Amino acid sequence: MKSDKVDVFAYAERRERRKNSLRKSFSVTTFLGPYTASFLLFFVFPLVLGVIMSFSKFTAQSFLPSSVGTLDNYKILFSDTAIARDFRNSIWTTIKFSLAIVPLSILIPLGLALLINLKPPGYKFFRAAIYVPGIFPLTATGLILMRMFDSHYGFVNSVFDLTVDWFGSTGACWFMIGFFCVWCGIGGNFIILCAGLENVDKTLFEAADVDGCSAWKKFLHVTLPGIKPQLFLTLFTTLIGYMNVYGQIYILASNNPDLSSMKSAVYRIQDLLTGFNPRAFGYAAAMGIVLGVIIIFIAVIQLVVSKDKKGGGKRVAQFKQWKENV
Amino acid sequence: MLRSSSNGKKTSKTVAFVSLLIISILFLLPVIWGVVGSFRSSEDFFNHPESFFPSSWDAFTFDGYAELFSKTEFVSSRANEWYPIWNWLVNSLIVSVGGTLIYLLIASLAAYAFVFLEFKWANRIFYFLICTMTIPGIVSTTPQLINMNLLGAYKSLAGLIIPSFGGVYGVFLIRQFFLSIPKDLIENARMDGAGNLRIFLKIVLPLGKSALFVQGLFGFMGAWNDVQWAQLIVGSAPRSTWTLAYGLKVISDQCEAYESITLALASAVIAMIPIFIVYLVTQSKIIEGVANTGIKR
Repeated sequence: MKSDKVDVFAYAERRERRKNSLRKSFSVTTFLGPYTASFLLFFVFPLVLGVIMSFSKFTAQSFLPSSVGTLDNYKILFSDTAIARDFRNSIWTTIKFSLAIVPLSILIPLGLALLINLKPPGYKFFRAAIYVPGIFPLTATGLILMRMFDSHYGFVNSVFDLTVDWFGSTGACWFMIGFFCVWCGIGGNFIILCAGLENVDKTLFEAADVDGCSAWKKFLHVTLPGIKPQLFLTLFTTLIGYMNVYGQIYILASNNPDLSSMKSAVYRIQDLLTGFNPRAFGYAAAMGIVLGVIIIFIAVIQLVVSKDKKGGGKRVAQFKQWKENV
Repeated sequence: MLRSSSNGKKTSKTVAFVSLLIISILFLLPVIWGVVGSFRSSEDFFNHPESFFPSSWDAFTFDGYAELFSKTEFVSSRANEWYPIWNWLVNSLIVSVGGTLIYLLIASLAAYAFVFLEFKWANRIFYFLICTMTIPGIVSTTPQLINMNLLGAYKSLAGLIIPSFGGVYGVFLIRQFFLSIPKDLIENARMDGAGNLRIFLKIVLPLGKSALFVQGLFGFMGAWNDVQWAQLIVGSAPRSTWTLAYGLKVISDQCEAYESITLALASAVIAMIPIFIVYLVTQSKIIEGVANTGIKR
């Protein structure tokens, strides 16, 4: 009799546990299900498909690969054909443009944030005014810019009596693209740096005042270390962002006679895709992967360097030691 | 000593005020020029390009808007000048509002599961998701286009909306916020016999409103301003399925001739108005949200 009773309890407990775990897995499925499905379908699947596509042959008839297992797409990118030269040039263009625009996209907002941080009257309005051009569609602000800097009847050329063809000549066009990137692109960095400056420990400044530090010394030894996380964050996101530059060039340079030399890497990929010629999909996928690897490489370098700074140059020391041993 | 330092502070404040005033004016100048210009007649641009405002009261017109709205209907004899701007406006709204709301629902359900349903490997799966964020989007642009084709979403608004559902960043942001909700609150509700769905709807969502709002704003602005993906998905579709941001690019290219400058500026203003209203209403939230990305890490 006794053993029977125990069995019943054990059974009830087992049942209860099973019911609970069933209920739990049911709610995990309902809550995580939609996201898991979309993550697999819209993130994982394209990623896998992209790798497969880059190793596939395409015919003009179908947007699905005709045969898989070839290195042709990559071989072409490193060969001496027009498409390969264009792509390699576009990568150089992208890197050069990024190296030019990233310092501006950090230093200008840093300067502005320092001014805001002095809290002059109306600083909230100024902060909003500097941020506002970036909220609009690039096509809208770009359209206005193109009209305002028009070579014949543009406001700027007429007022200053200039004859510069701002979008027709290559040098001036790059200048305008840079101007556009600063005008409509620094808002995020600017706000992040403003917030960083606001959070620097005020007592440090007081201590520096007591020690009689000059303003420059205070900036170098208190302000800059205080906003280091924000500086690294903005550097990281801005550089990666501009390695993907497309819109600004597409909008401002589309009438430039020298457009093909101004195209960025993403522009080249976009060109292959807008034609929707299935034959080009293999190249486009391979180009995407090559560019992606370059971007990840840059990101890793940045991460290592920034870790170094935080870790007191541990890695530099390691590297020096390793070099000595070699 | 004290007085000189407060004097120094005063001068630096004045210098900051003057320079910020000049810089803000420079930043706003092109926008204002564009908005004012949309109310000028084309001849006025032609005759008085050096004038910032309409050169006379006669030059102040609504011609640009009138011309733009006269070209919203398809006329086969001038198919190239068909700018169905109301369709574009509605399409942009569908993509940015609809897509954002659905993504918010999907992402907050997932964030709830990661924080409050203690399932096996919850944290490991989440860190795996974070790691995938390092993969640049350009890698999957081409295959995503094929994917949309397979799903029948190519050349349709759906193709602009659904790819964003797989995004990790929103789940990450919302999860960070949910983590700050006291676990006791959830446990108490469970003791009282509330199910997960009820807890999610009645406790977690109301508490996480502001996080969802900020994420929603960024999603909205990103979708509203997108040109690159729109060009691929709807660029070769009939004009009535375009979005406003993409349509503007075509207007800008086609209005190189000076006669239609007011039309071009009017369309730019129409694209800017909705996002500007959103910005005015939610300004502090947006700035706070951007600022937080740099602070809370």
